[in-house]
Amino acid sequence: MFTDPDGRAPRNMTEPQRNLYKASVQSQHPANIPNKYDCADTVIHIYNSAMKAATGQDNSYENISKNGQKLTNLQDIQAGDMFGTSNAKNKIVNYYQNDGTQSYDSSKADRSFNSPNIEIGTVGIYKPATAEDAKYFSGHSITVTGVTRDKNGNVTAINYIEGHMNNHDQEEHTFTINGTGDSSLYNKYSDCKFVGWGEIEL
Amino acid sequence: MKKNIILSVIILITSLLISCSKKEHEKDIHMQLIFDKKDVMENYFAAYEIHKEMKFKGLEACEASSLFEDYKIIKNKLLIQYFNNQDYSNEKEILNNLVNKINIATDLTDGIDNYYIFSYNSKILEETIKSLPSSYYISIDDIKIFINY
Repeated sequence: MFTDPDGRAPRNMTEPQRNLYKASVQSQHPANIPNKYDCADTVIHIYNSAMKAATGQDNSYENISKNGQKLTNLQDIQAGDMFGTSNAKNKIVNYYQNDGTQSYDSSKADRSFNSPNIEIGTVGIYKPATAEDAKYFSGHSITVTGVTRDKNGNVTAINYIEGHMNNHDQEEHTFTINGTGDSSLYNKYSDCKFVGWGEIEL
Repeated sequence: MKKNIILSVIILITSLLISCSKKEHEKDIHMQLIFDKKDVMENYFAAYEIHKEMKFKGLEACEASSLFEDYKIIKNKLLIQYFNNQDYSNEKEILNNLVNKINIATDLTDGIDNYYIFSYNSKILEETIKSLPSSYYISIDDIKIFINY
Protein backbone atom coordinates (compact mmCIF):
# COMPACT_ATOMS: atom_id res chain seq x y z
CA MET A 1 0.00 0.00 0.00
CA PHE A 2 1.16 3.50 -0.76
CA THR A 3 0.41 6.45 1.47
CA ASP A 4 1.32 9.93 0.37
CA PRO A 5 4.44 11.11 2.22
CA ASP A 6 2.59 14.32 3.09
CA GLY A 7 -0.39 12.36 4.33
CA ARG A 8 -2.86 13.49 1.69
CA ALA A 9 -5.45 11.30 0.05
CA PRO A 10 -4.34 7.75 0.72
CA ARG A 11 -6.36 5.58 -1.63
CA ASN A 12 -4.83 2.22 -0.75
CA MET A 13 -2.99 2.06 -4.04
CA THR A 14 0.58 1.80 -5.22
CA GLU A 15 2.15 5.11 -6.14
CA PRO A 16 1.97 4.49 -9.92
CA GLN A 17 -1.69 3.48 -9.59
CA ARG A 18 -2.40 6.54 -7.54
CA ASN A 19 -0.83 8.77 -10.14
CA LEU A 20 -2.96 7.11 -12.81
CA TYR A 21 -6.02 7.70 -10.64
CA LYS A 22 -5.24 11.40 -10.33
CA ALA A 23 -4.39 11.72 -14.03
CA SER A 24 -7.77 10.23 -14.89
CA VAL A 25 -9.64 12.64 -12.60
CA GLN A 26 -7.66 15.58 -13.95
CA SER A 27 -8.53 14.65 -17.53
CA GLN A 28 -12.28 14.58 -16.86
CA HIS A 29 -14.34 17.08 -18.78
CA PRO A 30 -17.99 17.96 -18.15
CA ALA A 31 -18.91 17.38 -21.80
CA ASN A 32 -17.77 13.75 -21.56
CA ILE A 33 -19.97 12.89 -18.59
CA PRO A 34 -23.58 11.85 -19.28
CA ASN A 35 -25.85 14.69 -18.21
CA LYS A 36 -28.34 12.19 -16.83
CA TYR A 37 -25.88 11.89 -13.92
CA ASP A 38 -26.71 14.13 -10.96
CA CYS A 39 -24.07 15.36 -8.53
CA ALA A 40 -23.56 12.09 -6.65
CA ASP A 41 -23.65 10.01 -9.85
CA THR A 42 -21.01 12.33 -11.31
CA VAL A 43 -18.74 11.86 -8.28
CA ILE A 44 -19.10 8.09 -8.54
CA HIS A 45 -18.66 8.15 -12.34
CA ILE A 46 -15.36 10.03 -11.96
CA TYR A 47 -14.25 7.61 -9.22
CA ASN A 48 -15.28 4.65 -11.39
CA SER A 49 -13.30 5.92 -14.40
CA ALA A 50 -10.25 6.70 -12.26
CA MET A 51 -10.29 3.24 -10.69
CA LYS A 52 -10.46 1.72 -14.16
CA ALA A 53 -7.48 3.82 -15.25
CA ALA A 54 -5.51 3.02 -12.09
CA THR A 55 -6.23 -0.68 -11.56
CA GLY A 56 -8.02 -1.88 -14.68
CA GLN A 57 -10.99 -2.79 -12.52
CA ASP A 58 -14.41 -2.31 -14.15
CA ASN A 59 -17.50 -1.14 -12.30
CA SER A 60 -15.78 -0.11 -9.07
CA TYR A 61 -19.06 1.50 -8.04
CA GLU A 62 -20.18 -2.03 -7.18
CA ASN A 63 -17.80 -1.82 -4.20
CA ILE A 64 -20.15 0.76 -2.70
CA SER A 65 -22.71 -0.43 -0.20
CA LYS A 66 -25.89 1.42 0.52
CA ASN A 67 -28.10 0.30 3.37
CA GLY A 68 -26.36 -3.07 3.49
CA GLN A 69 -26.69 -3.76 -0.24
CA LYS A 70 -24.00 -3.45 -2.90
CA LEU A 71 -24.82 -0.94 -5.65
CA THR A 72 -25.96 -2.55 -8.89
CA ASN A 73 -26.65 0.73 -10.62
CA LEU A 74 -24.22 3.67 -10.52
CA GLN A 75 -27.11 6.07 -10.26
CA ASP A 76 -28.60 4.50 -7.13
CA ILE A 77 -26.78 6.94 -4.89
CA GLN A 78 -27.47 10.43 -3.62
CA ALA A 79 -25.37 13.05 -1.88
CA GLY A 80 -27.42 12.34 1.25
CA ASP A 81 -25.82 8.86 1.39
CA MET A 82 -22.39 10.44 1.80
CA PHE A 83 -22.57 12.33 5.08
CA GLY A 84 -24.02 12.00 8.57
CA THR A 85 -25.37 8.71 9.87
CA SER A 86 -25.86 7.37 6.33
CA ASN A 87 -22.17 7.73 5.53
CA ALA A 88 -21.12 6.37 8.91
CA LYS A 89 -23.13 3.25 8.03
CA ASN A 90 -22.39 3.08 4.30
CA LYS A 91 -18.69 4.07 4.63
CA ILE A 92 -18.55 5.77 1.23
CA VAL A 93 -16.61 8.99 1.93
CA ASN A 94 -13.64 8.77 4.27
CA TYR A 95 -13.49 12.31 5.67
CA TYR A 96 -10.39 14.18 6.70
CA GLN A 97 -10.76 15.18 10.33
CA ASN A 98 -9.57 18.35 11.98
CA ASP A 99 -6.94 16.37 13.90
CA GLY A 100 -5.39 15.10 10.66
CA THR A 101 -6.81 11.56 10.83
CA GLN A 102 -9.52 10.15 8.56
CA SER A 103 -12.86 8.65 9.50
CA TYR A 104 -16.36 8.11 8.16
CA ASP A 105 -17.70 10.57 10.74
CA SER A 106 -18.57 13.77 8.84
CA SER A 107 -19.41 15.83 11.92
CA LYS A 108 -15.87 17.09 12.52
CA ALA A 109 -14.64 16.93 8.95
CA ASP A 110 -12.03 19.31 7.57
CA ARG A 111 -13.99 22.16 5.99
CA SER A 112 -11.19 24.60 5.34
CA PHE A 113 -10.46 26.17 1.99
CA ASN A 114 -6.74 26.23 2.76
CA SER A 115 -6.54 22.55 3.57
CA PRO A 116 -3.40 20.44 3.21
CA ASN A 117 -5.70 17.47 2.56
CA ILE A 118 -7.19 18.58 -0.74
CA GLU A 119 -5.83 17.22 -3.96
CA ILE A 120 -7.01 15.89 -7.29
CA GLY A 121 -9.70 13.29 -6.65
CA THR A 122 -10.76 14.65 -3.25
CA VAL A 123 -14.52 15.00 -2.93
CA GLY A 124 -16.42 17.83 -1.22
CA ILE A 125 -19.84 17.15 0.29
CA TYR A 126 -22.68 19.58 1.11
CA LYS A 127 -25.84 19.07 3.15
CA PRO A 128 -29.15 20.97 3.05
CA ALA A 129 -28.95 24.07 5.26
CA THR A 130 -32.26 23.45 7.01
CA ALA A 131 -34.81 20.68 7.52
CA GLU A 132 -37.10 22.58 5.14
CA ASP A 133 -34.39 22.57 2.45
CA ALA A 134 -33.93 18.83 2.99
CA LYS A 135 -37.46 18.29 1.68
CA TYR A 136 -36.28 19.31 -1.78
CA PHE A 137 -32.82 17.71 -2.07
CA SER A 138 -30.52 15.45 -0.06
CA GLY A 139 -27.25 17.38 -0.51
CA HIS A 140 -24.59 18.13 -3.05
CA SER A 141 -21.23 16.66 -3.99
CA ILE A 142 -18.25 17.74 -6.10
CA THR A 143 -14.94 16.25 -7.23
CA VAL A 144 -11.69 18.23 -7.09
CA THR A 145 -9.92 18.20 -10.46
CA GLY A 146 -7.09 20.58 -9.59
CA VAL A 147 -5.55 22.48 -6.69
CA THR A 148 -3.27 25.51 -6.92
CA ARG A 149 -0.99 26.34 -4.00
CA ASP A 150 1.36 29.28 -3.54
CA LYS A 151 5.05 28.99 -2.67
CA ASN A 152 4.15 28.59 1.00
CA GLY A 153 1.78 25.73 0.26
CA ASN A 154 -1.35 27.77 0.86
CA VAL A 155 -4.30 26.91 -1.37
CA THR A 156 -5.13 29.70 -3.80
CA ALA A 157 -7.64 27.93 -6.07
CA ILE A 158 -9.60 24.67 -6.23
CA ASN A 159 -11.01 23.39 -9.54
CA TYR A 160 -13.94 21.02 -9.40
CA ILE A 161 -16.55 19.25 -11.52
CA GLU A 162 -20.16 18.95 -10.41
CA GLY A 163 -23.27 17.32 -11.77
CA HIS A 164 -26.82 18.56 -11.40
CA MET A 165 -30.30 17.18 -11.09
CA ASN A 166 -32.83 17.01 -13.91
CA ASN A 167 -30.44 16.29 -16.79
CA HIS A 168 -28.56 19.57 -16.52
CA ASP A 169 -25.07 19.53 -17.97
CA GLN A 170 -22.08 18.95 -15.72
CA GLU A 171 -20.04 22.06 -14.96
CA GLU A 172 -16.45 22.82 -14.07
CA HIS A 173 -15.76 25.74 -11.74
CA THR A 174 -13.02 27.18 -9.56
CA PHE A 175 -13.20 28.12 -5.91
CA THR A 176 -11.06 31.12 -5.07
CA ILE A 177 -9.97 32.58 -1.74
CA ASN A 178 -12.45 35.44 -1.79
CA GLY A 179 -14.85 33.89 -4.27
CA THR A 180 -18.57 34.46 -4.43
CA GLY A 181 -21.37 32.39 -5.93
CA ASP A 182 -19.99 29.50 -7.99
CA SER A 183 -16.48 30.42 -6.87
CA SER A 184 -17.30 30.32 -3.17
CA LEU A 185 -16.67 27.08 -1.28
CA TYR A 186 -19.02 28.03 1.54
CA ASN A 187 -21.76 29.79 -0.44
CA LYS A 188 -21.84 27.60 -3.49
CA TYR A 189 -25.56 27.17 -2.85
CA SER A 190 -27.43 29.46 -0.50
CA ASP A 191 -29.46 26.55 0.86
CA CYS A 192 -26.50 24.21 1.42
CA LYS A 193 -23.80 23.95 4.08
CA PHE A 194 -20.36 22.56 3.38
CA VAL A 195 -19.80 19.28 5.26
CA GLY A 196 -16.15 18.73 4.42
CA TRP A 197 -13.44 17.07 2.35
CA GLY A 198 -12.90 13.35 1.98
CA GLU A 199 -11.96 10.51 -0.30
CA ILE A 200 -13.81 7.60 -1.80
CA GLU A 201 -11.64 4.67 -0.76
CA LEU A 202 -13.19 1.40 -1.73
CA MET B 1 -47.88 106.97 5.64
CA LYS B 2 -44.12 106.80 5.19
CA LYS B 3 -43.93 104.44 8.14
CA ASN B 4 -46.52 102.16 6.51
CA ILE B 5 -44.58 102.08 3.27
CA ILE B 6 -41.37 101.15 5.11
CA LEU B 7 -43.25 98.40 7.00
CA SER B 8 -44.72 97.04 3.76
CA VAL B 9 -41.26 96.94 2.16
CA ILE B 10 -39.85 95.11 5.19
CA ILE B 11 -42.69 92.56 5.05
CA LEU B 12 -42.16 92.09 1.32
CA ILE B 13 -38.43 91.56 1.70
CA THR B 14 -38.97 89.16 4.62
CA SER B 15 -41.50 87.19 2.57
CA LEU B 16 -39.10 87.04 -0.34
CA LEU B 17 -36.30 85.87 1.90
CA ILE B 18 -38.50 83.18 3.46
CA SER B 19 -39.63 82.09 0.02
CA CYS B 20 -36.08 81.95 -1.29
CA SER B 21 -34.92 80.11 1.79
CA LYS B 22 -37.75 77.59 1.39
CA LYS B 23 -36.91 77.06 -2.27
CA GLU B 24 -33.24 76.65 -1.38
CA HIS B 25 -34.22 74.09 1.27
CA GLU B 26 -36.39 72.18 -1.20
CA LYS B 27 -33.55 72.27 -3.67
CA ASP B 28 -31.22 70.89 -1.01
CA ILE B 29 -33.58 68.00 -0.29
CA HIS B 30 -33.94 67.33 -4.01
CA MET B 31 -30.18 67.37 -4.49
CA GLN B 32 -29.73 65.17 -1.47
CA LEU B 33 -32.17 62.62 -2.89
CA ILE B 34 -30.45 62.57 -6.27
CA PHE B 35 -27.09 62.27 -4.58
CA ASP B 36 -28.31 59.45 -2.37
CA LYS B 37 -29.84 57.59 -5.30
CA LYS B 38 -26.54 57.71 -7.12
CA ASP B 39 -24.78 56.34 -4.05
CA VAL B 40 -27.38 53.62 -3.63
CA MET B 41 -26.95 52.69 -7.29
CA GLU B 42 -23.18 52.38 -6.90
CA ASN B 43 -23.60 50.24 -3.81
CA TYR B 44 -26.26 48.18 -5.53
CA PHE B 45 -23.84 47.30 -8.34
CA ALA B 46 -21.27 46.18 -5.75
CA ALA B 47 -23.95 44.09 -3.99
CA TYR B 48 -25.09 42.61 -7.30
CA GLU B 49 -21.53 41.54 -8.14
CA ILE B 50 -21.34 39.71 -4.82
CA HIS B 51 -24.70 37.97 -5.06
CA LYS B 52 -25.42 37.63 -8.78
CA GLU B 53 -24.30 34.00 -8.75
CA MET B 54 -26.56 33.09 -5.84
CA LYS B 55 -27.92 29.61 -6.44
CA PHE B 56 -30.32 27.29 -4.63
CA LYS B 57 -30.19 23.53 -4.79
CA GLY B 58 -33.91 23.53 -4.02
CA LEU B 59 -34.62 25.46 -7.22
CA GLU B 60 -32.56 22.94 -9.16
CA ALA B 61 -34.67 20.15 -7.65
CA CYS B 62 -37.83 21.97 -8.79
CA GLU B 63 -36.37 22.59 -12.27
CA ALA B 64 -36.68 26.31 -11.64
CA SER B 65 -33.02 27.30 -11.52
CA SER B 66 -33.04 28.71 -15.09
CA LEU B 67 -36.15 30.77 -14.24
CA PHE B 68 -34.30 32.16 -11.24
CA GLU B 69 -31.27 33.01 -13.38
CA ASP B 70 -33.61 34.92 -15.74
CA TYR B 71 -35.19 36.60 -12.72
CA LYS B 72 -31.82 37.90 -11.50
CA ILE B 73 -30.96 39.32 -14.93
CA ILE B 74 -34.31 41.08 -15.40
CA LYS B 75 -34.32 42.35 -11.81
CA ASN B 76 -30.92 43.87 -12.45
CA LYS B 77 -32.24 45.57 -15.59
CA LEU B 78 -35.26 46.91 -13.71
CA LEU B 79 -33.08 48.42 -11.00
CA ILE B 80 -30.78 50.04 -13.56
CA GLN B 81 -33.81 51.53 -15.35
CA TYR B 82 -35.15 52.78 -12.02
CA PHE B 83 -31.90 54.34 -10.89
CA ASN B 84 -31.52 56.03 -14.27
CA ASN B 85 -35.07 57.41 -13.98
CA GLN B 86 -36.21 55.40 -16.98
CA ASP B 87 -39.42 53.47 -17.54
CA TYR B 88 -39.18 49.98 -16.05
CA SER B 89 -42.75 48.80 -16.66
CA ASN B 90 -41.65 46.24 -19.24
CA GLU B 91 -39.16 44.66 -16.81
CA LYS B 92 -41.79 44.77 -14.08
CA GLU B 93 -44.20 42.77 -16.22
CA ILE B 94 -41.56 40.20 -17.20
CA LEU B 95 -40.53 39.86 -13.56
CA ASN B 96 -44.07 39.30 -12.39
CA ASN B 97 -44.46 36.51 -14.96
CA LEU B 98 -41.18 34.94 -13.87
CA VAL B 99 -42.16 35.14 -10.20
CA ASN B 100 -45.45 33.40 -10.99
CA LYS B 101 -43.62 30.62 -12.83
CA ILE B 102 -41.13 30.21 -9.97
CA ASN B 103 -43.99 30.10 -7.46
CA ILE B 104 -45.74 27.38 -9.46
CA ALA B 105 -42.52 25.36 -9.92
CA THR B 106 -41.56 25.58 -6.25
CA ASP B 107 -45.09 25.28 -4.95
CA LEU B 108 -44.36 28.15 -2.58
CA THR B 109 -46.40 31.20 -1.66
CA ASP B 110 -46.62 34.06 -4.09
CA GLY B 111 -44.68 37.26 -4.61
CA ILE B 112 -41.78 38.24 -2.41
CA ASP B 113 -42.84 35.62 0.14
CA ASN B 114 -41.20 33.05 -2.08
CA TYR B 115 -38.24 31.93 0.01
CA TYR B 116 -35.76 32.01 -2.87
CA ILE B 117 -36.79 35.39 -4.26
CA PHE B 118 -37.01 36.88 -0.78
CA SER B 119 -33.56 35.56 0.16
CA TYR B 120 -31.97 36.99 -2.98
CA ASN B 121 -33.58 40.42 -2.68
CA SER B 122 -32.88 40.61 1.06
CA LYS B 123 -29.20 39.84 0.54
CA ILE B 124 -28.88 42.46 -2.20
CA LEU B 125 -30.70 45.08 -0.14
CA GLU B 126 -28.75 44.25 3.02
CA GLU B 127 -25.44 44.46 1.17
CA THR B 128 -26.44 47.73 -0.54
CA ILE B 129 -27.40 49.39 2.75
CA LYS B 130 -24.48 47.94 4.68
CA SER B 131 -21.99 49.70 2.46
CA LEU B 132 -23.78 53.07 2.50
CA PRO B 133 -22.15 55.76 4.67
CA SER B 134 -24.06 55.99 7.95
CA SER B 135 -24.98 59.66 7.35
CA TYR B 136 -26.89 58.72 4.19
CA TYR B 137 -30.27 57.13 3.95
CA ILE B 138 -32.05 54.94 1.48
CA SER B 139 -35.47 56.17 0.41
CA ILE B 140 -38.63 54.14 0.89
CA ASP B 141 -39.06 54.16 -2.90
CA ASP B 142 -35.67 52.55 -3.31
CA ILE B 143 -36.50 49.87 -0.74
CA LYS B 144 -39.81 49.16 -2.44
CA ILE B 145 -38.15 48.75 -5.80
CA PHE B 146 -35.65 46.34 -4.27
CA ILE B 147 -38.17 44.03 -2.66
CA ASN B 148 -41.47 44.45 -4.49
CA TYR B 149 -40.69 42.45 -7.63
